[in-house]
Amino acid sequence: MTILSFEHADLVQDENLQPARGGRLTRRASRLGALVRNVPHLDTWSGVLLAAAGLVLVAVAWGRTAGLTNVGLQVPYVVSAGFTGLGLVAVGLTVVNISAKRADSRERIRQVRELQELLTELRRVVEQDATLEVAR
Amino acid sequence: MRTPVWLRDPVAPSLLLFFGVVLAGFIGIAIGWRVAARTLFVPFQTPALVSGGLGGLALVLLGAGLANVQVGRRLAAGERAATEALLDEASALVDVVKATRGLT
Repeated sequence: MTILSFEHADLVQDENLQPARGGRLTRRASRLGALVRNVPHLDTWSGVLLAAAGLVLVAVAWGRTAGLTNVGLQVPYVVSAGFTGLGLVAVGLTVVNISAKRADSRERIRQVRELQELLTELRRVVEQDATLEVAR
Repeated sequence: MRTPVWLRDPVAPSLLLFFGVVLAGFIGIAIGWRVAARTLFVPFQTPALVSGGLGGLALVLLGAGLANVQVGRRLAAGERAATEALLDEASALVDVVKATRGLT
């Protein structure tokens, strides 16, 4: 008995969901959401974009501080752009890592399920053979 | 109002918490920036740099790291469930083969 009693589900969506009740805005939002979800490797690209934005912020921090000689004026740029940029790089890397793990896990589960189906088919064949033997 | 499917996942509350930690980290960085930007006197800026800036960055890294670990555990649990089903099927096959040999 596993701790989790439900089928492995995608953390983001369930294709069997009934369409949400609501007005035109909700339906448009659902359609837009569906369009966005169909972009391949969206989560990986999101992580990469976040990390890139972080690096851009770090570059901005460097550019701003390089133009100043007064440390008191440099420190706010270090904090705002520099640290925020580092934070975004960390978050972007985490998103990329998670999306890679999810993709690998999905593939492994697909292979396990394929093997399970083959075993089920083999069991049916063996049972049929046994039934035929008994009938003879 | 129906609960979204992703919220019914057992790891959703913890992931929301870790997302909150990351958000708190960025807010901390913003507060550190506000305090540091108020003065040009570096000894007054340094505490804001450390507490807001470094502390905020630490929270961001902590939240991201914990989310990474939790998602890894969730995915591993899903794989274990699939492997468990595979083992059940293999066990059923072994039983059928044994029963068949008993008949022949």
